[in-house]
Amino acid sequence: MIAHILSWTIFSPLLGLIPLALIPRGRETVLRASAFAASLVPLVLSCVLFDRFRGTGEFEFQEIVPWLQGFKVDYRLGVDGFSAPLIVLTALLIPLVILQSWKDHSGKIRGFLVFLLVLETGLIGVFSALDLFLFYVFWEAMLVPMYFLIGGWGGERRIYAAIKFVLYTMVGSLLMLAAILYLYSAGGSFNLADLYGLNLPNKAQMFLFGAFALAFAIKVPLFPFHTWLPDAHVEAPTGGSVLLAGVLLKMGTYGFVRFAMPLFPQASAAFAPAIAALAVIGVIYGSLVAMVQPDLKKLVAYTSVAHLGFVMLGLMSLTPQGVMGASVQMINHGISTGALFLLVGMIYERRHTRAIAAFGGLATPMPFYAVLFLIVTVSSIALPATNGFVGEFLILMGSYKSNPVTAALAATGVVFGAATMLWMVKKVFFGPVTQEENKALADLSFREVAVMAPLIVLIFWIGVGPGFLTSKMEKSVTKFIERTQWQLSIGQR
Amino acid sequence: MATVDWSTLTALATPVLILLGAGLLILLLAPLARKVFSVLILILSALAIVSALLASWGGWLSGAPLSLGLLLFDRMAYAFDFVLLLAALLTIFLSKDYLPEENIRDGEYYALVLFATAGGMIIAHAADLIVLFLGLEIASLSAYVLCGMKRNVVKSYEASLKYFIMGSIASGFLVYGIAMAYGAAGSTSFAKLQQLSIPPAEPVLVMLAVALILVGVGFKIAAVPFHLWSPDVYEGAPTSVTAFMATAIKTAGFAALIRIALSVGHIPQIPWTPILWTLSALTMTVGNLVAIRQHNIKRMLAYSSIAHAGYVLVGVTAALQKNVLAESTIASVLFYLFAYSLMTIGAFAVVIAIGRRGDQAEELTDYAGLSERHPFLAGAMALFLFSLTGMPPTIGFVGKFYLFSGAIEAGLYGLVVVGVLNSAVSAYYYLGPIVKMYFQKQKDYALPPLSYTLLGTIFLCVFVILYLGLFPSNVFLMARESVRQIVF
Repeated sequence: MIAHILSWTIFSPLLGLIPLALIPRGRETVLRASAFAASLVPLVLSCVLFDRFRGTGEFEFQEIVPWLQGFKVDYRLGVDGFSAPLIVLTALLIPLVILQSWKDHSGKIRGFLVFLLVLETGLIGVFSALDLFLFYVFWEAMLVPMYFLIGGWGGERRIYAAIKFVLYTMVGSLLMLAAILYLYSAGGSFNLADLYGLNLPNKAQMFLFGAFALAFAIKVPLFPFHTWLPDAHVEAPTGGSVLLAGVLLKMGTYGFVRFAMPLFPQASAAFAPAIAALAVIGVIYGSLVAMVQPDLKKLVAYTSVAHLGFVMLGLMSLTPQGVMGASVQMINHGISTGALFLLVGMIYERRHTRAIAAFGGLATPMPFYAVLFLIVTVSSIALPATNGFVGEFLILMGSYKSNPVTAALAATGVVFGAATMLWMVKKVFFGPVTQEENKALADLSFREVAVMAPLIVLIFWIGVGPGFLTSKMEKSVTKFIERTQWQLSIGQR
Repeated sequence: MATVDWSTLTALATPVLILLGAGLLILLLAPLARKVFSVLILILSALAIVSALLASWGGWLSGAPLSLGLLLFDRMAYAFDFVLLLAALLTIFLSKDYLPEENIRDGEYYALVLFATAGGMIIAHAADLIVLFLGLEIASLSAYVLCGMKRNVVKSYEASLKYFIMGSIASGFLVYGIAMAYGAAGSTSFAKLQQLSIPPAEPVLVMLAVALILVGVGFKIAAVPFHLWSPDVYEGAPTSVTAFMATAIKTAGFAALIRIALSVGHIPQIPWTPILWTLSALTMTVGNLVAIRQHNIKRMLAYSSIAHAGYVLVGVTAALQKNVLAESTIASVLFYLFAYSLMTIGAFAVVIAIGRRGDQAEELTDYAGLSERHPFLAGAMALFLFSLTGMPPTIGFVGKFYLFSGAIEAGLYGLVVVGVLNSAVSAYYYLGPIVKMYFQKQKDYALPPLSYTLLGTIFLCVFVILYLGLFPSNVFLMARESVRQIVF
C-alpha cells in the first residue's frame, strides 16, 4: 500500500463514486455521508504520505508504469517538498466543502458530490505527475468537473462564468501542449527528471517558457490575465470558490515552480523582472480594486489576486527565502482564503445576500462567527503569530534581496490589502446592528464550527511553529534554486 | 501487362466481395422484405460487415504486402478497411429504429450502405488512379441516393440533388486531373507515378494533374474552400446517413488523398507544404468559426466535421513535409480517423435518439434539460463532445496528441499553434449543447422508448472512447505497423 500510496490518494476519491451511483433517489443524507466518508480516505492517505515524507529534495514515493508505447509516455508519479503539502491541502479542503454544503437542498446534491470527488482526483493528480503528458492529462481533466460545478450550482451568470473559465484556461493550456510536444521532440522524453537536464538554445527557451508561463499565468491569475477569476469566483457555489482559491490557483504557481522555471532557467531569469513587475501590479491593483467591491465574495476574490501576486513575487526573486516564502504562502493562501470563502458562504446561507451593505454589527447576534472571521482576516493580512506572516515575511525578504524597489512597492500593497480587509470587517461586524433581519441570525452551528476548526488550528500552527512545514520544503527549495542557478551558469559560459 | 491471378485476387479481395455480394442479395430480397424481413436484412448486413472485418483482419495478419496490378493489398489498406467497416457497422445499428420512423425503405438502404463501404475499401486498395476513381464513384453514387432517402421530405431531396451536382463537378475535376497525370506519366498506376523522374519531364502537366486531383478530393473530404455543400447536405440527409457520410465517406476521401500523396509526394517541384498547410489551416479555422453560429445540431456537427478534416490534414501535411513515408504521422492520421469516427457516430446516435417522429428535435434548444430526462444520453453526448474538443481522458485527446506531435516532429510549429487555438475555439461551441443539457430548464416532452440496439451502440462508443483514451497504445502501434509496409 505504501509503495502505491500516491496512486491510492489520487484514485481513492473515485471509489466514492460507487456508493454515490448506487444510493437511491431521495436519500440525501446518506449520499452526503458516504461522500464525506469517501473524501476522508484520501485525507488520511495524504496525511500518512506527508508524515512518511522525508523531505530529501528528491522525488519520493515514485511510481513508474509504462503507458503509451511508441511515445515513451509513462505513468510517473512522485512528490517533493512543493507538492506534498499541496496534496494534503487538497485532501483537507474537499471534506470541509462537503460538510459545508450539507444544507444544500437544490435537489442536485448527487451531481455536486460526484464532480467534487472527480475534481479531487484531477487536482491531486496534477500535483503528483512527473511525466509532462500525464500532468497535462490531469490538468485538462480537472477542467471538466470544475466547469460543471460552476455551471450547475453557481449564481445567476454561472454559465457565462463557467464558459469563460474553460475558454481562458484552454487557450493557455493548449499552447502549453504544443510546447510540451516540442520539448518531447527536442529532449526525446516526457519524463521531468530527464528534461531538467536539457540545455535548450536560448531562443527556443523563450518561446517555450512563454507558452508554459501563459498557461500558468492565466491559472494564477497574474495581472492582466485575471479577468476570469472574479466572474468564476462570484458565480461559483461556495465549495467551488473554496477549491478555486484554495487549490486551483495553486496549480498555476506550482506550474511555475515545477515546470516553467526549472525547465527553462535562462528564459525564466530573463523574464523574471517583467513577471515580478506584473506581480507587484497585481498586488497593488488587487488590493485597490478589492477596496471598492460592494460584494463580500468579490472582495475576497480580488484579495486573492493580490495574494497570488505575492507568491509570484517570491518565486521570481529566485532567492531561497523568496521561493520558500512563496511555497509556504501557497499553502497559507489555501487555508486563509479557503476559510474566508467558507465563512462568506455561511453568512450567505443565512441571508441569501453577500452585499456588504446588507450587514453591520453582526458581532452582536453572531459573536462566535465574528471571532472566527476576525482570526481568518488577521491571518489573511499576515499579522505575526498567524500563518500569513511567515510567508509574507520570507517573500518580502527574498524579493528585497533581488530588487528593493519591487519589495517596497509590494509592501505598500500589503498596507492597502490590510486596510481593505479591516475596513470590511469593521463595516460588517462592529457598531450597532443596522438591519432588522440581522438581529435574529443564528450563530455558527456545531457542523459549521467543525468545518472551520481544522483551518483555524492550521492558521496558528503554521504561524507559531512553521517548522513542520518548512523543514520538509527546505531541501526542495535548495534543489530548485540549484536547478535554475546551475543551468544559468552553464548558459552564461 | 501482367496476367491476373484470379484465385489470389478473389482470396485477397474477399472483404470487398462479401460486401458486394451481400448488397446484391439484399437488393434481391428487398421486394419481399416488408415487416418480417427487415430484421433479417439488418442481420444479413451486419453479418456481411462482420465477416468482411474478420477477412480484413486475416489479411492484415498475413502481412506480406502484395500488388496485383490494379489493386494492392498492404496493411494500410486493411487498416482503412477497419475504419470503414466499423463506421458501416455502427451506422446500420443506428439505422434500425430510425428507418421505420422516417419511412425509409430498408432493403435499398442497407444495400447502398454496403456498396458505399465497398467503394471506400476499393479506394483504400487502389493501385491505380482509375481504380481509385471507380471506388470513389461507387461510394459517392451510393451516398447521393442515401441522402435522398427521406423521399417525402423536401430538405432530404434537396440535399441529395445538391450533393449529386457538387459531387459530379468534383468527379469532373478528378477525372481531368487523372487525364493530365496520364499525359505526364504515360500511365495511371501509382507505381508508374512514383517512378516519375525528378524533375518531371512535363512539370506543367504534373502540377495541373496534382492541382485538379486535389480539388476533386478536397470536395470529397469537404476541405475549405470546397466545403460549401456539406452543411446543407448533412442537415438534409437522414441522420444515420449523415453519420455515415461524416465518417466513412470522409475516411474514404482521406484514403484517396494519402494514396495520391504517397505516389507523387516525392516530386519536390510540387509545393506540398504551402498548399496543404493553407488548406489545413483554412479548414480548421473556417469550420470552427462558422460552427459557433449554428443552432441546428446537425449543422453544427457538419461544421465540426469540416474542422476535423482540417486536423487530419495537419497530419497529412506533416507526413509530406518530413518524409513521404513518415511512419508515425500517417499512423496518427489513421488513428485519428478511427477516433473521429467513433466520436462522431456516437454524437449522431444521440441526435437520432433525441429526434422523434414528425419533429426531428435537431435544434440545440431541444437539448435543454436532457440531463434530467435521460441522464445516460446526456452523459454520453457530453462525453462525445468533450472528446471532439480533445479533452483528456478521451480518445479525441489522444488522437490530437498523436497528430500534433507528428506535426511538431516535422517542424510545422505554426500549423500546430493554429490547430491548438482552433481546439480552444471549438470548445466554445461543443460546450453549447452541454450547457443546454445540464444547466438549462427541462423542455417538456417525453422521450420515446429507445431500442437496445441504439443504446448499445451508444454505450459501445462511450466505452471505446474512454478505454482507448486511457490505453491507446495497442491501437496506435497497430496503426504504425500498418504504415510500415506500403506498396504501390
